[in-house]
Amino acid sequence: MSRIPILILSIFISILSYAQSNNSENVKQIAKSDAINFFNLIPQGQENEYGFSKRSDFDKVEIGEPYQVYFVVKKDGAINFKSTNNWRVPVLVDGKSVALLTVISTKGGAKVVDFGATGLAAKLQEFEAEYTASNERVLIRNTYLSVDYIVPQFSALVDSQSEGLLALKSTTTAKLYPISRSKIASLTPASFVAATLNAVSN
Amino acid sequence: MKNTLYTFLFSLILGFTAQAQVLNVPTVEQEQDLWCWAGVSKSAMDYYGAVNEQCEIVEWVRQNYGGFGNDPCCENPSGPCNNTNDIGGEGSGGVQDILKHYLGYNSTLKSFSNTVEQDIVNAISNNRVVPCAWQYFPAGGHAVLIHGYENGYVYYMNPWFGEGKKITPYSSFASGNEGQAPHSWTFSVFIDDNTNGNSVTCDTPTNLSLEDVGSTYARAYWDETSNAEYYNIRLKAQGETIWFDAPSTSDSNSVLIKKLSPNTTYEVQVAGVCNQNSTSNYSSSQYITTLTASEDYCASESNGTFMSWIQNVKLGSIDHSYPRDYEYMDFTHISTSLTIGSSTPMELTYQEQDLYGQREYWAIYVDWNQDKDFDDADEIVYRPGSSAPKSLYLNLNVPAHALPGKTRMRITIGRNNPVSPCGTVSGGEVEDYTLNIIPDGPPICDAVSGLSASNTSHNSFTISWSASSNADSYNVDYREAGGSWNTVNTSTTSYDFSGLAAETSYEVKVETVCSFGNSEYSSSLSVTTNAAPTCDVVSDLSTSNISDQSFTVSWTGDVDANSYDIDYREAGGSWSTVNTSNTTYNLTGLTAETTYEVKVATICSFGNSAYSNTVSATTLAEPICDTPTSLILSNETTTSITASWNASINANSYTLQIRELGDTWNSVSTSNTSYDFTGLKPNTQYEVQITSVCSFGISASSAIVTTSTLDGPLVYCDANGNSVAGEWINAVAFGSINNTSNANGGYADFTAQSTSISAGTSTNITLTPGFASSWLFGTTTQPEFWSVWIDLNQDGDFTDANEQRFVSTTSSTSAVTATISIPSGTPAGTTRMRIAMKRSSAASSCESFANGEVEDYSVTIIEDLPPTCDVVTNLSISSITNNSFSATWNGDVDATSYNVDVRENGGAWTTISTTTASYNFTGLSAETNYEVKVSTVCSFGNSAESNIVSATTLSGPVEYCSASGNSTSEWIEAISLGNINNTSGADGGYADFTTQSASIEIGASASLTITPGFPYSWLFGYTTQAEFYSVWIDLNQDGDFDDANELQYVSPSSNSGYQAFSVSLSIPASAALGETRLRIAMKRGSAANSCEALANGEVEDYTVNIVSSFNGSARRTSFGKISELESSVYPNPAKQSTTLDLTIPANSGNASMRLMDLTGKSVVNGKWSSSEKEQHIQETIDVSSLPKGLYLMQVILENGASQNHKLVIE
Repeated sequence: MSRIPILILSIFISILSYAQSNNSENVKQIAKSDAINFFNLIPQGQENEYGFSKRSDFDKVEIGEPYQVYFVVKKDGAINFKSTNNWRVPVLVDGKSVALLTVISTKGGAKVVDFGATGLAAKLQEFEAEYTASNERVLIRNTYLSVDYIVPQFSALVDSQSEGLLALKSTTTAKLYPISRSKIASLTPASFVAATLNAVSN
Repeated sequence: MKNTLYTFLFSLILGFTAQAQVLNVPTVEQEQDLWCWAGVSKSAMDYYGAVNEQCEIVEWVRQNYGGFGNDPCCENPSGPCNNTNDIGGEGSGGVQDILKHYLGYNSTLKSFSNTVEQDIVNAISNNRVVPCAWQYFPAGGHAVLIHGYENGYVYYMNPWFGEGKKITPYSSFASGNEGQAPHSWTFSVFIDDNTNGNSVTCDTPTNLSLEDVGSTYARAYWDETSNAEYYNIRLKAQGETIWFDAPSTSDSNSVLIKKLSPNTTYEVQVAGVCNQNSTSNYSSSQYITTLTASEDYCASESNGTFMSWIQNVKLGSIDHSYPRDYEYMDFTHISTSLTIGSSTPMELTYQEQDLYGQREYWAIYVDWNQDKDFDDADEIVYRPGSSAPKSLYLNLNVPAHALPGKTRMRITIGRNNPVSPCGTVSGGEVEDYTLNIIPDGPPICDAVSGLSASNTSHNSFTISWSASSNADSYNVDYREAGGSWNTVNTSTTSYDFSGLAAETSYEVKVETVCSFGNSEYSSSLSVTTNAAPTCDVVSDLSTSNISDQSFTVSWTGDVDANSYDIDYREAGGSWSTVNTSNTTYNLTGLTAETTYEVKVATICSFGNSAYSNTVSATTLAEPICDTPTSLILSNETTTSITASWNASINANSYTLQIRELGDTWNSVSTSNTSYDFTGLKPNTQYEVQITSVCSFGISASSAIVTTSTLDGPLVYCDANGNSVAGEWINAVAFGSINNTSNANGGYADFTAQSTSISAGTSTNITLTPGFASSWLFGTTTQPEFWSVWIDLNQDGDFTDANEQRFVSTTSSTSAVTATISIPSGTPAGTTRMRIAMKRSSAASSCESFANGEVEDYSVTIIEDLPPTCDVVTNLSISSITNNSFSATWNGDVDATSYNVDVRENGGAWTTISTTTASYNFTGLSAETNYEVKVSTVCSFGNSAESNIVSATTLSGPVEYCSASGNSTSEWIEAISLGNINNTSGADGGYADFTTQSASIEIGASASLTITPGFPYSWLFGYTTQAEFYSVWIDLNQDGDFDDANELQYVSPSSNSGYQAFSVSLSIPASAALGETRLRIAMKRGSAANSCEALANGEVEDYTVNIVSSFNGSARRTSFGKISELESSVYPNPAKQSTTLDLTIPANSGNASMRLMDLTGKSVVNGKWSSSEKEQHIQETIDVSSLPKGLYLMQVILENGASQNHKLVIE
């Protein structure tokens, strides 16, 4: 690799990290201010379906660290990632992650557009308890396989950006962690790519 | 059971209460990566009660539509069964077909469109969940289930692992990438409205019974419900707490419960599972105790029927088919009768799962000696050593040693080996039946057994018995005890007796009727009917809830009552009756303070009871709506006072009235005992009174109490513009206010500036906007609306009637001038005027608006006093000539006209009306003194008369008005009259020939000849114009030709001739003697006026000398009085009539009167005779039919004396 591409990649990664750090606080602010709108939409008696044991829990809610969401795009036979401009933000009650708010950033501003996903919220917390937390919190949604992945070292997983796509690095030790009923285990990028391409071909 | 949850949500942010409808579907995670459609289907089906596993759903699709491999999906779900599926497309095996199959639901597939949101709302409100499909970008699809909608938000169940229940805005659901990859909504499945959904109530089965009890099994029976699709049976050993489910059954009313423990008591219950798989409650429990092992036949079963099973059994009356079952089936409730020694054909058929076949072994066992085993001689009926065909045919021979009665037949089919009677094999099935062994001999018609009675009432009961073999029917004999037998026949095993006597003993016996004879009678059964019901008198009759118009009657009734008659009356009066089916009745519409009596009788279907005892109740006195007491006023401020009072007992509310002292009342209502009056005027005395409002009327008003508000300034509401960056009020001009204020930050208090305006007047106001210079240069001023309020009643606001005195109806960017009127009657004093200028729309008086400005000013209202009809001032006379002068004066603003009285030399007053503050008197006599006075005429009355001013006309000739014409085309060529014979030719339009005179005797006539002149061209062409001729003589010599008869001639029509013609001049007796003016006018096209400048024609003046006789001297008369004649006319002006007051001197001859219009036409005439004495005549003259205007009344005596009066008719 020549020095110029290294420099570009370094700048890109720095920007990615900075942007993520900077965005996280903004995302949390948006989530915190809009959350009550969605909590109040929970039908009486169905609080459990949305992660709460009782409505008074609304007053105890704290906002966790957001996960930026990417999805998988196959292009020219390669696997890429594309940002969705949105974040899954854990809703914490007494330190327990009970649900996720989804914050989306558009030209018109940021806002919460979705609430729920109690299972996914628990899995994210389970992952953070099991593995060393990283400053990078990225969630990849693979619609080819109908599976989500936690990627704690996302910047190490991807290469430079082109046409809005982040290419998967050909050589990387970064891992993906598929979310399923089973205990969370790591998956190599190679396996990830193979499974995805296999699904695409089918 | 509906699982719909209706939930009220309170939105803190939106601030309103909304009703969410959210169907509480279960959260289902898709069990395989591609089974989102199965997860959605399961959630929907679970919601509607059709509980199935995802793999079962997929398996059903696999079996019926293919595409999911060859392995059962519950055994290998992650193989080819892990596949995608559509949500729609009937016949494709998608979600639509799944809902149809499992739930019987028809549905419609819809593409996403703008109408889908409403469809979603409708579906949810009808308890319909909505499966939906998303298309992901860049690839893949996904199914989710909408189960709720609330105010633009969608509730949906996402089977994607970890997602579950979600709430998202509808727009985000439809298209977006919220929390996932970008997607678009493609299709939705809407369950048809006419599908029953989950609205069916699943009935609980009844009459559970347990029969055919063995040591390890028993058969449960129940009554079939109307809507169960199948049934769940549960049981537990007595003393245990955990229920166990027996296999569900789709049989309508029975199931065989197997694998019980011998000699054990079980508690059993059954529940229905309905079409939508909603489950009923479990039935009440029934108990059975299984037989001990020694009491029952040994158990025998296979370990599974997946290889082969008994398909059909035919023997005697048995023809029984049953699908594949498990292991063992007890069909002992199915039997056939076989005679000892008989041989009966038998046919057995088995079915198998696999393709191998011919490896099944039949075995048949019968317990001929009924010792509960199959070990005895001949009890192995059939058990070959080789496999058998699917259908086995043989004859079943009943050995001679078989015992009569019911016994067991066991049929087995075994894979690879026959099944021993108490054995177990790995494949096949065991079924037990009952054989009824009949002795070899003549048939027996068995007597009935188990005769019993039930449902006994006072006139009926039912008997029933056990069926007898060989019975065709039954004879039922019955009688009253000791009486004669009666017989009825029935083919059933029960009989309902009715119409029996109460408390009577009946005997019943039954015999079986067979085709070959009858059985013996059963033993007699005695049944005694119950006592007949009685219609009892009610008890505990009482009254309660007594008011002035009603009270309640209550009693204890009779169980047999259909209803009750309530009789009531005023004490000692006539009874009235009402009826009720209840044991209480509220008597209403009663009279206050009156005692009523009440009694009640029971009405039964079989008669009425006697009346109860009579109870009395006295209604209360009518309530009084008391006037509130102790009304006091307190807490006076500048704008408020508090009224408080003592409550009136029966008042529901109170009506308070308040007014300024002596003003009209204003009312308010309150249910409290105090009220704060606000918005009052400072330093004003108020009166207050109060009435109670009760449910039954209102009280009298209280006494009026009075207080005054405190003195102090009025406080007005704030109003302002929040920005004057663009526009402001630049200047206001109103009365003496002329304020260039410029921008003042949105509001300025200029109340120090004041102008005085009289009530009942109008004043212009000019409002000038100011705009930012950048706007002006850019000519982009905004539309501005002006408003002007004046607090007319000085109560501190601008909200009263007419207080908004101006508002722009259209926008303006330039100065606006409007007229501000102060209504008449507006109270005097200084008050506030508010001016608002607001961008884009009109402001309200207390508004804080974005752009514009508000300014306050003071206006002093001056009271408008009642109008007065004032006496004119400064009456003076000027411009005096020999026959005229002018009178002028200062008039009154309220004048509609003025009456100007004038008289000559102290004579009678003549009144002239004028609308101006001046009058020109003409035609006066020279050297004559005239007096003038004026009074003001107003719409509401007349003023007093002014002072009298006088003037004396000058001496000198009478001046006549000028008149002339243009003589180029026509002219007066010549005239002749008496001594005058003047050929004048064309004189340039006018010629003064007054030096030429002709004498005419008064009262006589004279002929005037006029010769017209025309140009020669006209004469040769015979084209003369239409000419009109007029001749005047100033008979009264007053310098004009306006008086009566002075127009001596006017052409009745045009005269186009060029020949001379003559007219007659007539000098009336009233004419003044002496020389006077004769004027002749010739005018083209119409008649001339005496003072007209003619366009075409000519005027000539001459002198006529009016003489009394050609023998006497002329005698001059004048306007007004003649010494020999005294007359006056009044009233003048006149409307309906006027009176002529006339004094006729003695021996003066007859007197006559003519009333003439301005043309000289007589409109009224009168005549009176004189006598030797002076006469005084008062004649009323009707003028009501005459047109309004000026008239001349001429009174003449035969002696020549005359007097003229100008009469004004209004």
